[in-house]
Amino acid sequence: MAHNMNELETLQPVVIKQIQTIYEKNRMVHAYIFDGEKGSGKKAVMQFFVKLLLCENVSNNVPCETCRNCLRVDSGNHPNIRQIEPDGQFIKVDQVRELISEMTMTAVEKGRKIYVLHHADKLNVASANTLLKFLEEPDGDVIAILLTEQIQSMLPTIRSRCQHIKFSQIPRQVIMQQLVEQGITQSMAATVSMVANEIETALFLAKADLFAHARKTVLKLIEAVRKNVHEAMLIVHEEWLPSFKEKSEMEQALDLLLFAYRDIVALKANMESACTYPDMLQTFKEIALHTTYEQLSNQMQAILQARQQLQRNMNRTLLMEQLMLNLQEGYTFV
Amino acid sequence: MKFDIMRDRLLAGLNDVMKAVSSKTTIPILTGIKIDVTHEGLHLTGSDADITIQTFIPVEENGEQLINVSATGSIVLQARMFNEIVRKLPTNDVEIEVSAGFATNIRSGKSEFHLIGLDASEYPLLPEVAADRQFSMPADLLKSVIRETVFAVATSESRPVLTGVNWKILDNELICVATDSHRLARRKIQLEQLPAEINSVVIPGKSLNELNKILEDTTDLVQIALTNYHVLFKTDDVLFFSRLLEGNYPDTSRLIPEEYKTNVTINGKALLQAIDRASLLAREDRNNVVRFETLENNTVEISSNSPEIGKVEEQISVENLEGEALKISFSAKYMMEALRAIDGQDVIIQFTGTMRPFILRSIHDDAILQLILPVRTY
Repeated sequence: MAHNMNELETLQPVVIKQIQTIYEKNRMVHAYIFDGEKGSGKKAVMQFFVKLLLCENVSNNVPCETCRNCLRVDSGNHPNIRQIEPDGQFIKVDQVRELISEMTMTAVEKGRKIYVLHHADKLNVASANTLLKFLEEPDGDVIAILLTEQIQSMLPTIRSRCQHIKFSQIPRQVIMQQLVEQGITQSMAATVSMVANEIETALFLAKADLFAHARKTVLKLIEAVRKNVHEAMLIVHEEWLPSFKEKSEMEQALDLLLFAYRDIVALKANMESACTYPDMLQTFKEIALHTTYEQLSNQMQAILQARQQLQRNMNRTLLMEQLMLNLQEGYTFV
Repeated sequence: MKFDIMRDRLLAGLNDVMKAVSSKTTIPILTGIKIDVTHEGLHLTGSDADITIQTFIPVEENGEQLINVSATGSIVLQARMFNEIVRKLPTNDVEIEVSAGFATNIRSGKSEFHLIGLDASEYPLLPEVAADRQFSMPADLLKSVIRETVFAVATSESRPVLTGVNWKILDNELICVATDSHRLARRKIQLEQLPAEINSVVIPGKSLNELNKILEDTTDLVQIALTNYHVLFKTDDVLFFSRLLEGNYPDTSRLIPEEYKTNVTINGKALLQAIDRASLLAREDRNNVVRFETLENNTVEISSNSPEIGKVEEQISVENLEGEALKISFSAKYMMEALRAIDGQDVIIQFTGTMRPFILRSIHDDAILQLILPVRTY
């Protein structure tokens, strides 16, 4: 994770500028949300921010990287910083309690105390509510940094108590172009660039057989759904469920499915350039002709709901069957 | 860094600092013990971020050479591993040498260990304590102060500041208060040479419990230094640092009633035993509540009634009973803990009514004061 200053500035120029201004004008608030997709450099910027707050000799709003405090931020040994990662699926309420009891004590060393919640969207309702009061009115000089990839799934009460720092995405076109340069086909590049917002992950996915297989299965399912529900059920049982055994695979497949419907909506609105599946243009256009916006919206809603239920460990078979029926709903009146 | 040391002295020092090292720390460097060697002697430091314990082993003691320092320096070694190694070394002479890259050699007799150390500059700095904010009290007094207050701290995190004991200096008196908002324990101590500029700190109950375990029951003086962020307890060769709790401690002085309507002087032990018996039945019920009722002829009745199990009544004669007749209910657990804290024979219990808090104190003075909120039972 060793990012130097130049890399950070090219990756997230706006965010770095924003943080430096906050520091320079001494306008620290007590809680920040860093919101950005995977690979947008949240962790590196968080480290930069923490170092800026603790460094002994900051020059030009850049931490020195050589003092005791900077070095200890890097090695994770600074006693005033507390980092929390989800324990399993969620950040549990006990973790939050421990954090609060730790943070209500005076700092071990001079200076402010900082706590970082990684994947803050994984706070479950109980932990989020436990945190709320402390987040709003910490005792002493405390700064919270919440990192998340999905700000919309955080409680609004948490969001409203933090200053929101939005990380910009790496433009999709840039990633696609880089992928094509690496010898990936145009259509594959279009798909992976939707899934991964970072060149390395994207390249890894584009070359993985599993991903290619997933993509194929998803497309097959879309065609089947259009025809009739029986066919869709058959594919679910014969291909979908055996292919996606792990939860993460299932999650990814549902995402791919969602992107397909997003494509259809985009095509209906005549925005051809942003397609996830350029190779399916013809089929998708046809589907777009035969469905209304409302139906499409319902279908996407159904997929999102399925994705949520997957998080709650619903039976996979039932989940997919229900999804198929819900997707079919859109066509009943055609 | 290179030095020779007597194994038993090193082990004794390690034993003390190991008490502060926690296995479940999130900061990697705190799994280690810091060793500082100077020409004066050896400092060992262990910490779990909340508390820090430091011991000092001098080069020479009573004309006996304990440490032979060849080169000074500092290193952090894995606490558990280092402790085990030192415990099992074959001879009483230990040689520790740190070469380049934090590689540490521990030699004793014919056995030789190579340990990978950590950079000592990564270890948290100990706070600096100003000399003018210190005072001292005997170890046994400090221990009893802790025992008399710390049991009353809150255990829930809903108000973190109540999980600590409030130490306040007022007019040459140290006032220690602990409360969980259902009961309160207060201890006043007259001390000399109290620093004037410290008004109030809140020391975590957990830290005080740890300190209580380490302190020995002697009359040796313990130096106590308070800063805005830390408290330091210092005995001859052990330093005990603790962080403080942030936030304002609620003003508790107004909670204590000024006037009382019923005063009972009673033998503490007899009352404690009676309540213990009554709580046998009350304990089964969720809230563990016993009733206290004044009767004629200097007697009081302790009773408890849980409909599904049965009931108990017991009459105790008291030394003195004056004021209004009274029926009151309270938690048996709080009452017993309060009575245990007031060690003396006779205690005075003063009530201001069935629904008002009441206090317990010894007959001699109000140095130890316990306040309990009653429970409404009808």
